[in-house]
Amino acid sequence: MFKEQYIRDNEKLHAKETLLMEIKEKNAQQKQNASRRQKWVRYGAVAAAFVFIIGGAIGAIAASRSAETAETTQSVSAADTSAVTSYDDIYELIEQMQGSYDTGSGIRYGVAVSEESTEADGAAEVPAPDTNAYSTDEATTSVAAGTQDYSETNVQVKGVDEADIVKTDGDYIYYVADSQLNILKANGAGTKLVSSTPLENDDAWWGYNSEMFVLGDRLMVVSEGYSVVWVDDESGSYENDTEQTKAIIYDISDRSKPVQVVSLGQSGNYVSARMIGEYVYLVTSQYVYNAVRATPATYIPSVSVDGESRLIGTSDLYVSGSPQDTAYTVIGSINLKNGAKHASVKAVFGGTSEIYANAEHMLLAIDRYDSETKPIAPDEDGKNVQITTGQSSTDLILLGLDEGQITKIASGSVPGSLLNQFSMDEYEDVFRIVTTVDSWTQYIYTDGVDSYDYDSENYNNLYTLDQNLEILGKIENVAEDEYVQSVRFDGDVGYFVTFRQVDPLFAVDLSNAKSPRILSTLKIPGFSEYLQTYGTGLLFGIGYSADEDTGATTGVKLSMFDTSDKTDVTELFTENVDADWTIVGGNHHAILVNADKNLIAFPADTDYYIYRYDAVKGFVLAAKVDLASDLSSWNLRGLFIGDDFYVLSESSVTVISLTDFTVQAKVKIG
Amino acid sequence: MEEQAKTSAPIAADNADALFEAYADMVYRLAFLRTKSAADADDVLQEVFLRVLRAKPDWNDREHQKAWFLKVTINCSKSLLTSAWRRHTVPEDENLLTVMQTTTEVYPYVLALPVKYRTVVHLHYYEGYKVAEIAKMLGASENTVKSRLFRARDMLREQLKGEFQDV
Repeated sequence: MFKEQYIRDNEKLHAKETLLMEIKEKNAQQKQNASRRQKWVRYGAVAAAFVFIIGGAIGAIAASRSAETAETTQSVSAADTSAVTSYDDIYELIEQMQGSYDTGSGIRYGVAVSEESTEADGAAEVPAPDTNAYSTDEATTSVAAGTQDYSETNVQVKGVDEADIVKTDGDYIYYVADSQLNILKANGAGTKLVSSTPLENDDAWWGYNSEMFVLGDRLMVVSEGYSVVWVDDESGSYENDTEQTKAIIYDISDRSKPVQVVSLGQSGNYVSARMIGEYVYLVTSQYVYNAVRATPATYIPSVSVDGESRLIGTSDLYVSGSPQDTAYTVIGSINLKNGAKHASVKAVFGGTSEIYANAEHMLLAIDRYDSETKPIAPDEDGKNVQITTGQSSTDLILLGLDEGQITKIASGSVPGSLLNQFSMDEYEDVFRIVTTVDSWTQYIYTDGVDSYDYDSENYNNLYTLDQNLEILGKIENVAEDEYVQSVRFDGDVGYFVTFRQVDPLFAVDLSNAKSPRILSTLKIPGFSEYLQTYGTGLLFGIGYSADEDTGATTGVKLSMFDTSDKTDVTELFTENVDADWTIVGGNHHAILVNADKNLIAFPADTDYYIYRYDAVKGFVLAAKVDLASDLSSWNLRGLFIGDDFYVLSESSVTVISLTDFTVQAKVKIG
Repeated sequence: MEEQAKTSAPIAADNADALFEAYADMVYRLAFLRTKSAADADDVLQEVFLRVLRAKPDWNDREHQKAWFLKVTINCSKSLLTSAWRRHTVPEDENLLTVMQTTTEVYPYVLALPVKYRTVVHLHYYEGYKVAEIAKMLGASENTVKSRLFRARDMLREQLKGEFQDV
């Protein structure tokens, strides 16, 4: 029994009792000094990060690139996806993949599943989408609706909405907190709670909530839950819970009384969602644990309408060329304006992914991790060793999105793994991707008692790809031993930050997709976890400052970079926020950056901060709201409507005037 | 919020002795697994408890308190782990590490996994957390945690023989 043994093994470890005395002493000392925190510093070295700025063509490099590219393109075929002709195809594949666990052989998943890639895209009989014609323009929330401007969810691609716990339409604020859908009438100091609707939510642990979209008088809440599958096998018929993501649509024409219209299920746990026009594209991932042949529901994704579920047809299923995990990425589209069921569903078997989406395309990035174990052999010192090497890579699948229709366009692969959705971008028909390659070697010395050694190295790459996901150009082996911390593409230019101890910001020229080149490298202490352009010629970054000797982070840090000369990017101003941690790097929806309004607002530790930026003085703190008493304070949101700023936490909404940054009101919710 | 899971009241944030008694081993085990060093695990443990005494967090129950300790342990050991200079200089043949590697059954195999994989294995198998809970603790998506756990199991299965194949 692995679990029991692992627990017993751990119980051999005990914290030294003497540490308690040391802690008490240090705490007393710290109280005395009451000085600026110092993290434990034990080793001497140098700490900071890189900012890379990337862009165009240098003859010599371009020439050597094309040769490499040809070679890479060939290896890409491993990621080809193929269609499925029957559920049994998939069952057998799963059996082979799971069965191979105990063979101990180095070759796994080397399964060729119906490689004769039938042209299934065209053939796929997709349920017809709702075709009620009306203008899409009217559907997209215009920021200028009514008389006041207001902020929208901080999204990666303009016009492609992303689900979040807070939404506003300029009149009302919709906020999911503590398993309640709260609707507030936004009116500055006179803001009022209009309704609180309990949500069925299996996932309300520790301030974590469902996300939503709002479109006119319709609101969709996306949350995770379970659905019951009846399984028939040799032991009889029994119930089995499988994970299911629910998209529950409410009619909110009466804001004081939201009415549930329909509950749509999609198998798997929630990954991400986008709304384009009136269509929501919901991405889930379904892991297959115990496939039972006679019950396809145990290994085939499904969608449901008010609990009535149906399996996804074989023509909508694809198998990634060399599947990594017995898992699917499921992509479903739902018309939020008038839909009562999924408009289209596709599922890719092979793994789960990060997604990037713009108005026409969705790019799925499936993480791969391949390892190879060599037979035991003597090393140079004659010691017997078994060496295992592993490396990360990413399979890419390009989907076309068109009014709810989802079609598979192409597949490909790049070395390395992605940080997040910002690692991917499409501009003028070229995809650009930044990756970190992680490779490791494990040595098991087998003479006598087994002993272990472990070695790892990593570096960073940038790739440009065409519409067939074939690699056009690349920059490889950048910033060895560092990891990408943030990426932002801005038209012809890309920025990315890597970190070890010093944070370099790289600027890359991408104007010639065939030969991207690094324009400048800026080395600064600390690193940014999120980047966003701020007006013209400025780039804002939020992340952490770091101890220059150890690389240990010392607190939240803001940076403003001057990018007006891409070949010489400089850091204009920095600000150390009095906080250890911010969620922004992990969830960009938590930050609001608006150069027109001159606002940079975000949560850090248990406070909400509103900064302004001044060309002479740099970052200026305009307001700080202490929400330590609130359990959701790690995941706060802020938004503005006209001249009022609203800070939302689980128990209250704090209204702040944007003219003088004073608190106007605190409205209780929950 | 479900109330039934949260019955016991948290230990007061200024009661260092009781907190140490309740959480020191838990923190130390996670810290050691992540840093592979007794000295670093000591440092992380001190930092975690100093943060408690400094910040006096307002936990709502034991469950929340425990998760808070684990989360802070991960954060504190992360800063140590991200130092590449350190990665290359810290001796890996520390005494305790050798002891653990030679006197335990499955521990060395977990220790041999990359840190992000061994962390989810520990939180799942030792602390008994579900994927969703681990995701919240790590600030990662559930999907990420799931795929790490899935792959970690896969890697372990390749190495582990016999009775431990049930990982």
